[in-house]
Formats: sequence, structure tokens, C-alpha cells
Amino acid sequence: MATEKVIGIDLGTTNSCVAIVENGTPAVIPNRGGYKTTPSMVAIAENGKRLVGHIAKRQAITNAENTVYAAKRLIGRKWGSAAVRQSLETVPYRIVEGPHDDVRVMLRDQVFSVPEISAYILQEMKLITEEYLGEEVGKAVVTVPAYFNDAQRQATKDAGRVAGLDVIRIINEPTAAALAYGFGKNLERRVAVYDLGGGTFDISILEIGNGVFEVISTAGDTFLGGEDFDRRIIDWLVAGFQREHKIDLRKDKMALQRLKDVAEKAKCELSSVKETEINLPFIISTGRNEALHLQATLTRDKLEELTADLIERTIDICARTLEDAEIAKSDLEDVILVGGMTRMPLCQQRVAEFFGLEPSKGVHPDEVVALGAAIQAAALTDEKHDILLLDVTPHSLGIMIVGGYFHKLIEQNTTVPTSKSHVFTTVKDNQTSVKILVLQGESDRAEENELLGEFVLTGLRRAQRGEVEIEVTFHISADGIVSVTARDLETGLEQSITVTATSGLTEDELRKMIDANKDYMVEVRSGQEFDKARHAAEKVLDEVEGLFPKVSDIISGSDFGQDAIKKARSVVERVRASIAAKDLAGLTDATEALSRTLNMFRGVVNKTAG
Amino acid sequence: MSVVPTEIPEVGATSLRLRQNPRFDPMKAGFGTEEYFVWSRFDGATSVKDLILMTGLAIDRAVAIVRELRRRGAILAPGETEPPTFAAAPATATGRVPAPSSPTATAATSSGRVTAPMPAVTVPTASGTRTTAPMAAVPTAPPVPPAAPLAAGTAPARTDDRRVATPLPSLDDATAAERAMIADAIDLSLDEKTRILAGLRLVAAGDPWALVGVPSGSDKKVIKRAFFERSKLFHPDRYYGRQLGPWAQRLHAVFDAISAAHADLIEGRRPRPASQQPDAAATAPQSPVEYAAELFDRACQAEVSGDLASAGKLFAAATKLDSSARYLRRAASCALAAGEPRTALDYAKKAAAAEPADPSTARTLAKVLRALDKLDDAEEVLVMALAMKNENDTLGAELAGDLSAVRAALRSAQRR
Repeated sequence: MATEKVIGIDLGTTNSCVAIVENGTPAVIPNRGGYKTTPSMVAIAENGKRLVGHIAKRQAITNAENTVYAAKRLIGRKWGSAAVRQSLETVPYRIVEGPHDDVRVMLRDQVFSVPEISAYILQEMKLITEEYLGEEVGKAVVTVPAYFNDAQRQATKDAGRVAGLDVIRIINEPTAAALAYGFGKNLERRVAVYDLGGGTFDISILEIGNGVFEVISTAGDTFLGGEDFDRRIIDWLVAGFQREHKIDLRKDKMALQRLKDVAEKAKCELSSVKETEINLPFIISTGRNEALHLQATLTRDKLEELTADLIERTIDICARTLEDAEIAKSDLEDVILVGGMTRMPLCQQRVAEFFGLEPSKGVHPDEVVALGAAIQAAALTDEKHDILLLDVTPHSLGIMIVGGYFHKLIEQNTTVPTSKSHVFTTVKDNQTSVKILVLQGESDRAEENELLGEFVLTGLRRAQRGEVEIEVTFHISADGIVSVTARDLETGLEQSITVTATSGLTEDELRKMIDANKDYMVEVRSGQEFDKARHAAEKVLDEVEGLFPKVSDIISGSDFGQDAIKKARSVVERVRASIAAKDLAGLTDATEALSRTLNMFRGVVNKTAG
Repeated sequence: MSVVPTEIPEVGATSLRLRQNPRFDPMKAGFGTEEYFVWSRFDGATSVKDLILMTGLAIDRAVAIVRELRRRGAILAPGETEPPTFAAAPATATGRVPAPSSPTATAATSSGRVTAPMPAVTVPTASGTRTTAPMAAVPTAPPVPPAAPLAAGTAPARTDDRRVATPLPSLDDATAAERAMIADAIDLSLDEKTRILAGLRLVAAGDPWALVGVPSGSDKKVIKRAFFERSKLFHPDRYYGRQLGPWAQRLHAVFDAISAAHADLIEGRRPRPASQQPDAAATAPQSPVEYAAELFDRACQAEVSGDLASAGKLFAAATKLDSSARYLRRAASCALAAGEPRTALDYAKKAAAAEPADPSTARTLAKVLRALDKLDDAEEVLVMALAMKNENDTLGAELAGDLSAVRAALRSAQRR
């Protein structure tokens, strides 16, 4: 078990990062370009080629309608949700409604589900690792924003499956960051993790002691991040250009791509310098052989003025979280900053002011989450690591009760695994069945929460209302899987569900996707696979050939025996032919048949011997 | 042109990674927006081929622009410090250019690849600090002295200041049920089983202080430390990847109770009434094999009653605990009936691996293969199975019947 490598992947809104623990040391794995992070972008080029990462990013604007960025903002969302509405207005790629009230993306007339897009990114991270390590990797711990709900987590897991990765655990980004922060140090303290990433904001409070990392409270906004800061800069540039030239640069794809490149760059530069020149020659042509240039100076003050309200929103969430958890700021001994946006001086300054603490400088904001994921992977699969993560459920769980109210059984921020039961009764006379609607959220009104699943318990005794008692039990396992059981206390009759298929994909669709992607993988490296398969086939072949004379002697007496020998010959031929034709799929099948033959041969020989 | 050519005249192989010539001044070149855009994409790290794809321009147009940039000396091939000069370069992008030059000499060493040094965080493994709470003596053989009454939470606190939690109750007086549970053949050591049983006793006693392992009235810091120690003993993640069978539920019950007790004590809430504590101690001992048998029975009932979806789930659970061929065969037939031949194939293959010489298994596998239209394989499986059987019983006749049906199907397939 300890030899199997499990990687940690930070699947970010704008950038992703992969890490692994080797010889007890967690380390980030650089991609082919030597970069430690890879843009979370997927595009389909004109010739149908799939582009992922840096290369997708570089072409993003000119091929805007076929380039997906920030897919994480859409994953696991319902078509009708506010988040999707907002994306519809701001992203250049086409978002369409899926068959299960989910979101799909249309690229060059091909429809992709959001988990599929995320899968391409995860697959890229998998490939980066495999190239680096020179061996296959099949398992991963993947991080998500702490405030992701069950559907979003499930969809992320699905993405892993499509990418050929068994996601053994989903953990929260700020928690992962805390793991990396505390790894190998003998700490006993309470810390806050402030995580402002490309698309999401999270705040978590953790208690660390003796290798145990306990999440006490977590909250956030899954629609607030660096992308919003970039957009403010672009808006400002576009408005200035419009004033001067009366031309709307947003209408030109190439111009917009360059604006986006330059906005991100300027934002990053202003973290270290006070002002930066923005220079975009030939940004747009006015018609006859004449091109206009965009030139502007962006100061740090201006940037702060443009984005101060975004920072304040994060501070508000921090304040509310501390209040809800009844934690005083003075209880906190350290603040860990995570996410590229926390490089912004204003952000650091406001966080320091709010918490009354100088933020910890010990962790790398872009890499710490992936490192933490790798550490959790090691903690789970390798007993050498004396680390335990006590995570919490970020949202309350419960059922709908009469009047459309939401009855919570498990409160948010409860340590998992956990189980809770509550007894309910019928609401009508002679009611013989009850419908259990499983919900997740904080609102008292059922319909304002997320529906995770539903089931019906039937066969109740006919009785006056309130007489029949039904016990509902919620169970969350350590890996966050929710199951719900309803039991008729009188008869012991039971009905239950495990909440799984909420990602907007049916099992069938998911399987198809996995298959389609498998084909793609085989294309990429059938050579290696084939050599492996041939090796295996030849081994079986040798043994079968060795047994052939003996087996022939024993069974050729009967008709069936002769049949079998003929068949065995043909199976051997099939294997040889597949090897000659370098047909991987055929060889795999044929080898399977040959293994069956070998089993029979062995059986025949043993029977006679014994 | 729908494919990027492997070679572009003057530029060379499109796999090369060209970069901008720093001495080239685009402002004086009279570029249009497209030329400038393409030029701005050259970064020394992207191959010309990828670059052309990502411009989003028509490929011919992009190739023409790249050639034009090359002629103007705007881009440099790997290893070049100065752009080569091209004879009679026409000013327009469409003009013909004579002999292609191939600046490929140093391509291999200049791929722009940087392999960054690896470890970002270097720390020694945290070994020496593993906390293993002292375990009570464990009965290894049945004759157990009639022991003192359960002493949960009353053991003296240890003086070692790193360890806070009180020892778990002793199991010297293990009951028959507890001893039966210890006999379960699963992926747990004797120590671990004893530990979990001791935990179950605490759950049954229901004292939150004893569950967390601190004297009544301890302060929050002590509670927290003890809780962390207990967590390391009982959190399911500490047993990750092991086959625990019925013990998984026991473990969960213990951790859940400790975690709830901790939450109550830390928040100063009054502990939950004992009735809400999971009644795990009362769980009858059941081995994974027994449990699998129970699941299998329930699955069969569900299948008979027509609820194939539930049956499928139950079969999956049962075969996970106990992968005997009998269960796998039935699971395969059920999956086949539910219209999931791939799942059925998985089961059938597992069954065949478990009992390669068993004719019933072969029959199931052949059926599944036939459903997947793998007639050749089905025939082969049946032929082999028949050759293995010497008696001519009902099963033999059934196999022969199946075989002739498969052969008929094969013939009609060949005719088509």
C-alpha cells in the first residue's frame, strides 16, 4: 500500500498545481515548461486539437468562444443559479443548458459537461506527474474551496473519474494549506487561513496540535476572486479608451485577449512596484491601414481604488465567520495567506489590520494547497505519516418538514465522520407513506437550500396523524459521503439513499465520457501500453505451449476434448495475430481468452495428477 | 490548409520554439493588428505549430504572417543572435521566396525547458511523536478471570505532560460477545480490536468526560489535547484502505461518540442524552462473511421483487465483502437482467478468476459474453468448460445447449 503513489492536485479557478510526497518530503511537480502552476484552461483549436494549460491560455482571446476558463465557477451548478446567470453575461464561450438542469459548454459544435472540462485539466496534471516520475499514477487527493456544496464536490470527483484518476479524497483548500503550513513542525496553536484565489474566497479557522489538524469553522464566497480584480482593470482601460477614441475594445476579440493578458500582468506588477505602464500598440485598426495604440499608466493607488470593495467583502466574511464560531481574534496565533491574490499589498494590509497579526510568510501562496493535498494523500495511504485531518461539513444537512421548512439534523462545521438521528411523525390521518427530501444549506425555507436527493418510505400502518414514528438518520463518512436512512420505528421497515448522483451527470453519461476519454488516452501512448500487453501475452503463451502436449494426451479422447484443442489452437493464433498486427485492443481481449485456456489446461493437468 | 505544415520555408520546422528579436522595433515595421498580435505571441517557449494554432487565425494566414515576420527579422530561431538575411525578400506576405533556410542546428538544446529544483518544503518526517495510548492487557485465550467492574474514566491521569487522555478501559473481563468479535478475521491487529472494543464500552457508559479521556471538569485546553489523542486512535482515516467489515461501523460509532462528547464539552453544552448515542455496543457480533451472506439474501429478495437497482447495489456490497464465485455469478446474472452487461462482465470475470474450472461459472461468463456480442469468446468459454466436464449431467446438457445456440448465432453472423 505504501508503494502506490498518490498525488495531490490543487484544481484552481485560474491555475492548477500538482504535488507529491516522496521520501517524506512534499514537493510541487513542475510542468514541461518548468512552471509550477498550469493555467486551468481548455480550448479546442480550429483543427479540432484539444489544448490545455499555457497553450490554451495564450490563444484564449482570439479563440475566445472555444476556450474555457474558470470552469470551476460553473462546476456542479444548476442552470438556473445566479452564479451561472452571471457567467452567461461575462464569459465569451457558449454556455448551454444540460439535460439535468446542469450546465454544459459548447466548443466548436461539440457539447462538453463542466466535469469533462475539469477532467482535461486533471488529466494534464496527471500527465505532468507521470512524465516527471516516469510511472503511472492512478490516485489523487483533489482540493476544492471549503464552501463547495455536495454537488460541486461530487462533480469534481466525477471529473477525476473521467480523467482516469481515482479521487480518494476531496479536501478543502484552506485545510490543505494548513496541513502544508504545519507539516513537520510540532505546533500547538489556533490559526486562520485566508484564501483568496482566482475565483473563490475562503476563510477557515483551524486548531493544530500533535499532528492533528482540526477544522473549527469555515466559510467563504465561491464567486469572488482574482478574476474579478482583472475585470475591474479591463473595465477601466476600456472606459478610458472609449472616452478618447469612441471605440469599444470589448467588441474586438484580439484586443480583448491582449487587454486580459496585460491586466493580469499589471495587477501582479503592482504588488511590487508603485506604478506600471500599460502599452498595447496596434490594439485595434480604424479601417484603412491605420491602427490605434493604447497607452496608460496604472498606479497602485488607482488599482486599490478600483478593487477596494472586493477586499472589503472578504474582510466582512472573516468577521462574520469569527462571530458565528464565537472565536475572538485574540485567540488566533497566526494567519496564513493562500492564493495569488494575497500578494496584493492592500490585501495583506487589510488582513493584518483586521486580525491584528502579521500574516505568516512561511508558505508559498500558489503551491501550498497542492502540497497540503499531497500530504493528506500520504497521511491516508502511508502509515509512516503521523498526521490526522479532522475536517468538518461546510453546510448544514437536514430534511424538509411540513410547511416547507428545513429541519437540520447535522449542523454546519460538525466534525466528520458523524451520524445524527431524529424522530419524525406522520402529518395526516391514515398516511401510509412519507417522502424524505434531503437538503443542504442554511436557510429555514426548504426551497432555498440545495436538494441532494429524495426517497419514499412506504408501508406505514394506517393510524391517526402523529402516531406513526419515523426515525431519520444522517450519516457522513470520513470521505464526505452522505447517506440517509428512514426507519418505521414500529415495523422496522427501512429505506435509504446514498447521496451520489448530484453532479448533473447520470451514471450512464459518465461511463460514456470515461470511455471516450480512454480512447483519447490510448491514442496518446498506445506504444507503451502495447509493449506491456505483449510482454504479458508472451508469458501466458509460453506456459500454454508448454502444457499443450500433456493436455492433448489427456483430453483428445472425447469429442469435446478435440473441440477444445482446436479452440485452444485458434486462441493461440489469435494472440499471435494481434501481436503481429500491433493491435492493442485485440491483444488485450485475446490474452484474456488465452488466460482462460491456460486455466483450463492447468485444471486438466492437476485433475489427472491428483 | 487545415493542418499546420511541419516545415515553413525560411522559418524551418514548426516544432521549433522561436522568440522575438529584441532588436526589432515593431513600431517602425508598419504592422497591422494581426501581424502585431502574432508577433506578440512569440515567447521562446511555444512551438511555431502551437503558436499558429492558438492565434485563432486561418492557418494559411497565420503561416503567411509568420513567414513575413521571419523575413523582416522580427523573430529569431533557437541559437540565433541575429536574424539571417533572405535574398530578395518581397514586401508582401504572398510573394514567393526562394530557397528555404533551415536554422535547426541548435534546436535540440534550446527547447526552453526549465527543470526547476524540486523540494519546496523540506521537513523531516514526523515520526518520534506518535502517540499510542497505553492499552490494557488483552485476553488471548478464553479462560478470563472474573474481572473487576468496568473502570472507564477512573484510571489515574498520567503524569507524562505530552499525553493527556486517560487510558481506555481494560478488557480483562471481556464478554463472550466481545471475544467473538475479537475472533473476526479482518484487517485489524489484536491491539486495534481491543482498542475499539474498549472504545465501545465507553460509548455504552455514555460519560462524555470518559469518552474524551479527561477528568470531569478539565479545562478546554486539556479537553482539546485529549480529544486529539483519542482521534488518532479512532478516526476512520487512521484505518484507511483496510477491510474492516462490521468493524467499520463500530469504529465509526466510537469516533462519532467521542467527537460529539468533545463538541459538547468544548462548547459547554449539556451532553446529548444517552438515547441519542449510537447503540453500538448492542450490535451483535457479525463477521464480514456473515454480513455478506445477509446482504446477499437481501439482494436476492430485491432481485426477485423486481427492484434490480437496489439488488445491484446490494450485490455489489455483498461481493465486496465476500467474493465467492457463487455470489459473483448471481450478481452477474442480476446485472445482465438489469441491462448492465459491462458490470455483469466484471462480475463474471472475477468469478472465473476465482473458480476457473467451475462449469456454472463458465456458463455465466459465456452468457455475459454473448450479451456483449462477443460470440467467439462465448464459444471458446463453453467449449473449454465442456472439455473439463467428464460426466454427462444436466449442467453438461445445458452447456452443450448454450454452445449450439452460440454456434448458430455465429453462423448467422458470418452469413451477414
